[in-house]
Amino acid sequence: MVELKAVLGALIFAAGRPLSIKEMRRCLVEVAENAGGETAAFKAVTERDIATVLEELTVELGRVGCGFALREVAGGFRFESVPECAPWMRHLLNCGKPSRLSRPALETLAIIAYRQPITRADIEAVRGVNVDHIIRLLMEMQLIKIVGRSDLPGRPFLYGTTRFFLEHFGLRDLKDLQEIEPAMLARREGMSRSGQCSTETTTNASTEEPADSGQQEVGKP
Amino acid sequence: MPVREDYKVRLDVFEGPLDLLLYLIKKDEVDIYNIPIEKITAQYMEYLNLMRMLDLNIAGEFIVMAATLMMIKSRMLLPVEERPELEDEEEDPRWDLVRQLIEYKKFKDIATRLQELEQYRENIFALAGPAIPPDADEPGLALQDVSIFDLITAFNEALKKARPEQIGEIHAERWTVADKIEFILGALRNQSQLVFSALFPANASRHEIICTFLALLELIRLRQVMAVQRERFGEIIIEAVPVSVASV
Repeated sequence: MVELKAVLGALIFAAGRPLSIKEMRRCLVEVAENAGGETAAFKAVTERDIATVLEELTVELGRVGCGFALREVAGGFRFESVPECAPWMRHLLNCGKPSRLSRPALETLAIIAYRQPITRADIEAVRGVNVDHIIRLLMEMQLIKIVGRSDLPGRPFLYGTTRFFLEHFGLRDLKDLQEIEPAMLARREGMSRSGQCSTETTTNASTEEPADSGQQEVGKP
Repeated sequence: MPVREDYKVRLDVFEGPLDLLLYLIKKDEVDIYNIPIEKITAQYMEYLNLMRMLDLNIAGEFIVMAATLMMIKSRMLLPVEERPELEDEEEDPRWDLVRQLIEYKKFKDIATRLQELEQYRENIFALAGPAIPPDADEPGLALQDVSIFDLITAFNEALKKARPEQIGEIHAERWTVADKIEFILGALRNQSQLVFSALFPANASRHEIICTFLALLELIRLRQVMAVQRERFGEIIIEAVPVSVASV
């Protein structure tokens, strides 16, 4: 009889994109209902069950050290290679130097991410300059999209971030953004005051790697 | 002393006036909650003059900020009793600007964090579905299978079916490209695919058809939708960009 862990691993492997716990559960339940037999064992599986098994899988995979880890990103789970192996991967996949966002683009993106849905005028009010060319660029990179139109005169477009935005920065969901903000503030305070408990979040913040421990990091929802 | 015309350097370090102000504040180690407005204004103007001397591209916003700083400075010079009536009795004339600076600084910090995350993620790879690579250098039309000529052909067909215009009839221009962008995105939320001809209502005017087509081109360029053809010279299908990169 196939173990739940194996089924989940296979699903995540084949999905080709982050797979959510909801989707995994739906798959297990539907197969149990349609095919029956052994698969019926998973008919009553809960999201909590799946989450527990995924945590185990994350820890075990981390111990094996086979070059990829199970990570949660953009609302789902996915196998991702470990950064230490990047030089070989880059060579094999023939990737050029990755293009990075400029600071003004990152600032604009930050404003949209935290204030979405937001109009171009409101973004400009924060930055103090025109953002037309940056908005075009961010849309072409599929990091933002039009999410609607404001009721204000002229009915300007409202912008928001995309799922790809989450993938690009390795965030699980928009809630992760809430931590970046206090984390950044804490870094400043941590310098002048000692014994600040938030400093442990900031030192781990740059690695952002829960795969080793399988435990959720401090402060994550 | 005129600088050669062919060199237009963009000083990205100071993208805008707020950047410059934050730079000056940091450089002088000024307390942002108690900005020495005279000194900062003087330095700001000095930088503005330097940029002009170097013939750098100065955004209009820099000039506006210079005026704002002058105004704040003059308000601060007035004795308290003579200051104009404000809603908050004790409001410091600097306060609006300080608020704006603090907020902007917060986002700069967030941007730094995002940059760290981005660089960390660069070294991570995953099995991907049809991920569309960011093509920052070539913001051309991202047509897959369908060439611009196919689209123009289809557009031509649609135009032929336009409502004939009466001579002497004046139309109110009801449709804008922005309206049609919203329309196309909305239609694709309900169905994953649309046939090209379905974008144009039966009795559409030339103007409406043109607006719709321009909206479609813009959405393709911005990679919000794609145009595909099942066979050469066949019907064009408009699709929303696949789930792995678009948001739910």
